[in-house]
Formats: sequence, C-alpha cells, structure tokens
Amino acid sequence: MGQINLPTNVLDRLKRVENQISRLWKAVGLSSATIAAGGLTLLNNAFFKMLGPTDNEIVYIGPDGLGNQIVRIRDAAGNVIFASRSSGGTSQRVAINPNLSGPARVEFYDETSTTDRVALSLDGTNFVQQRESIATGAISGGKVSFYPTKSFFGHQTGTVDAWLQFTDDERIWMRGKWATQNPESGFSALYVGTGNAGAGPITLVVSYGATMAGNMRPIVTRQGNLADTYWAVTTASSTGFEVTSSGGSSNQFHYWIFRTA
Amino acid sequence: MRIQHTEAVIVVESGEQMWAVDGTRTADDGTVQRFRHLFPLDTLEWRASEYSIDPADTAMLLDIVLAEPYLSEEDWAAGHQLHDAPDIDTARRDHLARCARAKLRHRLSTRTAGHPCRRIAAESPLHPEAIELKRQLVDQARTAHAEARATAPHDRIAELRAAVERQKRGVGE
Repeated sequence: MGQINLPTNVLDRLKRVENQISRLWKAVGLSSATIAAGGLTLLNNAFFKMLGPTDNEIVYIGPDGLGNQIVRIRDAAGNVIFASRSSGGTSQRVAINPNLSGPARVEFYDETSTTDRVALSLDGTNFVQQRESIATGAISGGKVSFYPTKSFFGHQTGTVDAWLQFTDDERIWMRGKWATQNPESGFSALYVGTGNAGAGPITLVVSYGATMAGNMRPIVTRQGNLADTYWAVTTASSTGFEVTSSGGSSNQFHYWIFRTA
Repeated sequence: MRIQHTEAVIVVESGEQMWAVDGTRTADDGTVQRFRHLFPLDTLEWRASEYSIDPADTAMLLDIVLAEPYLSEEDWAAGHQLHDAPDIDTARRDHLARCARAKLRHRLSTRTAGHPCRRIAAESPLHPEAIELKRQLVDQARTAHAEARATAPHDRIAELRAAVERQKRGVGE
C-alpha cells in the first residue's frame, strides 16, 4: 500500500480536538473535579448522589419525591444506615454531636413527645444515658450512668428517685420502695405486703391475685406484743399462703414471698 | 373442718386496697379458730382471664377465690395447673374440680342468700378490656413457662469456664 501524506495542520487540529474532549469530560464530571473556593449549591430539587459499582445508591441528598429534601446513606447491601425523616411526626429524630463545642453526645427524639428526648453523652469520664427535658436537659425518666467509681441503673425525675447503685468497692445501694400487689401475671420474682389480722389466735390468709408460675416461698414475720405466742407459715401454693398465730392481742404480719422454679 | 365467712370489707394494707374476708374454721373436735383472708380487689378479674370464665359468672369466680386457700397438696397435684396445662380448657376443668373438692370437704358455702361475700362478686372490678389484656398476659406467661421447661439444663462446666474467662479478660456479662 502506498503512503498517504496529510498536511501538517491536520495533525495539529487532531491534537486540539483530543484536548478539547478531555476538558469536556472534566467539565461534565467523568473525571475529577475540585472546588478551590466557593461552594456547591443545589437548587430547584436538584440532587447529589453517589453510586456503587452496580449503580446502587450509597449517598443521596435531594428530594424524596414527596416534596421534602432528605439525606440518606446506605451500605453496600442497600441497607439505610443514616437517613433524615422525610415527613410526618417529629422531623428531628437523631442528633449526633449537636453541640459543636459541648461533650460527645447523641440525642434521640420521640415520635410523639415534644417535651422529652433520650440522650447518650460522654462528658469527661462520665457516660450517661438518660431521658431528659428538651427545654432544660434535666433528667425526666430512666437512666443508666457509668461514672469512674460508681454506676447507676434506675429512674429519676426532679422529685423521685428509684435506682440501683454499684460502687468500685463492691458495695450495692438501692433506693426506692417495694411495689406491693404486683403479681406481674404470675411472673413477679417477689410479692410483698402487710396484713393485719388482729388479736390471736388467728390465721391470716393472703391470695396474690394472679396465679403464680413456679413455686412461691414465703418469708413472713410477725409484729405484735410479746405475749406467749408462737406462729408459723402453715400453707403455701401458687395462689397464696397462710400464717397462723397462737395468740397475742395484735398480729400484724409482714411478708416477702420470692418465686423459684 | 368447716369454713364459715362472717364479713367482707375493703381494707388498706401497705397503701393498697384489698378485700378482707373474716370468718371461722370449726375443726372436727369443735375447736373454732378465726381467720382473715386478704386478696387484691382484682382477683376475680384475674381468675376470669386465667381460666377463660365468663365474667358474668361471679358466683363461680368467687367460689374459686374462696376455695383456693383450702386446696391441699394432693388437690394441687391432681390434674394440670394453669401454667403447665396443654390448654386453658384443661386447666379450667382441673382447677374447678379441685376447688369443688375443697368446698365439699370443708362444707364451704358461698351461694346462700345474704352471704357476706356476695358484695365481693358485686363490687369487684371486672372490666372487659382489663380481662382481655390479662388474658393476653396469661397467654404470654404460659408460652414463656413452656419455653423455660423446654430449655436444656444448664451446662455447669461451661458456665464455670465462662466465669473464669470473664474474670481473666475483665469482660462483663
């Protein structure tokens, strides 16, 4: 085949076309893009999206099709791992590090409550998870707290506290009072109360209300005058127990009945 | 022994209202001993839920509650109990049978005209929604109890090994 001679300026024009195409690719985002100043603003329902290798959505910022702007991040399997709420209920749901200059903190907002939230925070060496007032940050319910030398599990409001405290020297503290008449549909670990039977000889019979599952073991003590009196728990079953006193001008019995298998 | 009820009143114990039924037990030798039976106000509601008994049948519910303290170990051992019966119909049949035996044995009468405990039947709460919710709780409790029975016995060697490992590594439960 014979050689074809082209004019020199044809090659130059070809190189210019290649450069132009390269610049065009950059402009439409098929290569890297860098914003050195200013910012990127999306208007009029424009969106920002990052796709995975199979065109699967990884990041999406834009309209949700219902007229709401949302932020959504998915893992490679398509599971949503972070998303803002699109509509309905309370729009704020989870806030991570909401106070830029404050302690590490995650806040969960209730779907229906506009007055309270649950917060996890680490302030210094104190880790606290608690229900709290949105307005004041004051505790308003359950809490789990880990301090360097003690831990709490309980419920606290401005005026009421019921909790278990564990300290670093193996002591255990409990604050609150035992709930009486609490059969928990037969599964309460403990059934406590008091019964005043009056002058003896007399028998106090106590029924629990619900039929208990498993075996109930009564621990009972008598409060009364120091007469020549003897007394004993005479029967116990899944529905109740009885305690009998041989005498005394008064017989008040305090009972603490624990459940076993 | 013969059981007789003399009065039913509402008392407050540890801050809670309870039914207090006073009565006497007369032994076969003629010895009479007084008793007081305390139970929560909603006990009839519990029995209606537990054994699927028509809440309108307050006489039957009252019979059960007043007879239960007099069930012997033999009574309880005969037949199924609420949490291990194959179904509620079986549990109800067996419980009614043992309560009937106790009533007969102790000549325990609750259905006579003017019986002091009739006010318990008339005044106890028997709220339809409460009964249904308690029935669901009992269903859940029976399921949990069945699962607990089906659970394999604890492997004590494995538990000891795990306890040692936790201490060694400083790992919590």
